[in-house]
Amino acid sequence: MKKLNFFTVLTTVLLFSVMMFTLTSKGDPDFSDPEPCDEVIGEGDSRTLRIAFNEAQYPNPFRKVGYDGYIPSPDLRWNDFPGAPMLSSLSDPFMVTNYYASVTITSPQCDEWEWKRVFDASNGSSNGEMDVKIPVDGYDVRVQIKYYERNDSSLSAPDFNIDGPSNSCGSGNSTRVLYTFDQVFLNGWGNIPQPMTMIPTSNTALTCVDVQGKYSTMQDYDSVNNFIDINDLNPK
Amino acid sequence: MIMKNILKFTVIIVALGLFSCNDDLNENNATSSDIKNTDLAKNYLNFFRNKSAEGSVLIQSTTSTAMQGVNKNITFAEKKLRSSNKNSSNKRIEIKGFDSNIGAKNMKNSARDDNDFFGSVLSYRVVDNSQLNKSSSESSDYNEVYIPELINVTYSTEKLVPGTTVSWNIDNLNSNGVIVSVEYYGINQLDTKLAFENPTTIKKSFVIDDSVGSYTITEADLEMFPNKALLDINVLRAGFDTDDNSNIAIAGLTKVGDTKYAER
Repeated sequence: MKKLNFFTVLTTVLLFSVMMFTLTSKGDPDFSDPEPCDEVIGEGDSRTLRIAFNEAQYPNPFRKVGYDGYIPSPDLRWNDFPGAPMLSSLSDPFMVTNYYASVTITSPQCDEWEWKRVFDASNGSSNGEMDVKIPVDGYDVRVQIKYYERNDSSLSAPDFNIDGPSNSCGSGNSTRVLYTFDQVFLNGWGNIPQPMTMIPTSNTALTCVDVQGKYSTMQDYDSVNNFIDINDLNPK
Repeated sequence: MIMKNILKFTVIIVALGLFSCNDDLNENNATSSDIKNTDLAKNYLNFFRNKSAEGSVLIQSTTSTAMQGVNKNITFAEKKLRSSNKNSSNKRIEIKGFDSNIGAKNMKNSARDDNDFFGSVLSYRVVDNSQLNKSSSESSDYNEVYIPELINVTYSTEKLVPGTTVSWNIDNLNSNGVIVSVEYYGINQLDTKLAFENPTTIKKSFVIDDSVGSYTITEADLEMFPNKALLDINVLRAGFDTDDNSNIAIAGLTKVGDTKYAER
């Protein structure tokens, strides 16, 4: 009796599955799967954004007194580019330039699509303007910018930051301030370069793990963008 | 007994099939994300993943714990079509009590220096600019949407570790819950070795009842992220509504975002 029930149920389930398959596979093209959103967006639309600071509106809580609105220079505001970001120096890749700015662009309507790039001479220009890709018309655009300030000791006004947390590999100048921008633009923006005014967020210690050079197991990439390109990490 | 087990098994298979539809939204090659499928999360997902119509508005306050007492960083955006050769809709949202031209005229995010939108019920309606001089434009009834109070966030520790408590100011009128979102981006890491070994973006979100007022990070929460990575953690809540006839949406979102080292 039990066996009969087993086969009855099994047959019913199989028949039901076949029926469902038949019904769903009969459909005309309207019933086919829509094209995945990342394929619809493809490479995306070209736009320009401008990485901006507003020292007066956003006084920096991580600066020492007298340096509340201080932005070290030279940097991307003055047509200065990170020479060869991150991996160019065996001794200390993070001391090479005064900043490191990355941009990540996504869409709330398409998890699969993500564009990312580091600000450098290939995409940046004066006044902090940067060429980016955004999802095509119809998709909202989330823009995230990270701007890591480098160690302050090599700059013209050293020791302007409040000392970082105690886990740094030292103290005093071994700090960096992170500025961020993270906003959603409904359906993107027009062709006018859009100022993205960042806010200071944290005083991050320069930890020991940062200050290592190239790793023997790692392919010899020129830059982060080089890594992105070689590994096809951006949409085409 | 066997039949009982088979039926149970069948029910599980069917249930997995249904939920896999949601999972498909989150799994892909470029990024990896995990959103807890609570009813609250579904509300957020349904709203923010919907392609709302031209004329929709988004009011957002995006700040950090360092700046939350200094500047609310409020911007206002109105959705416009990008292509000039497409027919532009004349419909837009009008919020009662505010200048009819409160938004940006173009697509960019326009900064505002007030926070009157947050912590209040907004009465809004969809109006048609092309019908402004006709009495028919006034026939639309006002809808109401509650925009939660600006969120304020504190952390019990400097780093994100199992046991770190994230706390926020409770808004009992917010029925949508609070999202705690943790994100890993390889491009933002300071440790290049870690970044190059983990280039895939990883995202995890929780939606918690606002009235709880806090969330404690567990070891399991951090498991999917590379150890000792810099993670973005955003705590946000939003009020939102969509006009059924026009698919024009309105949302007010308040978010405090920070970047922290995470250790398990």
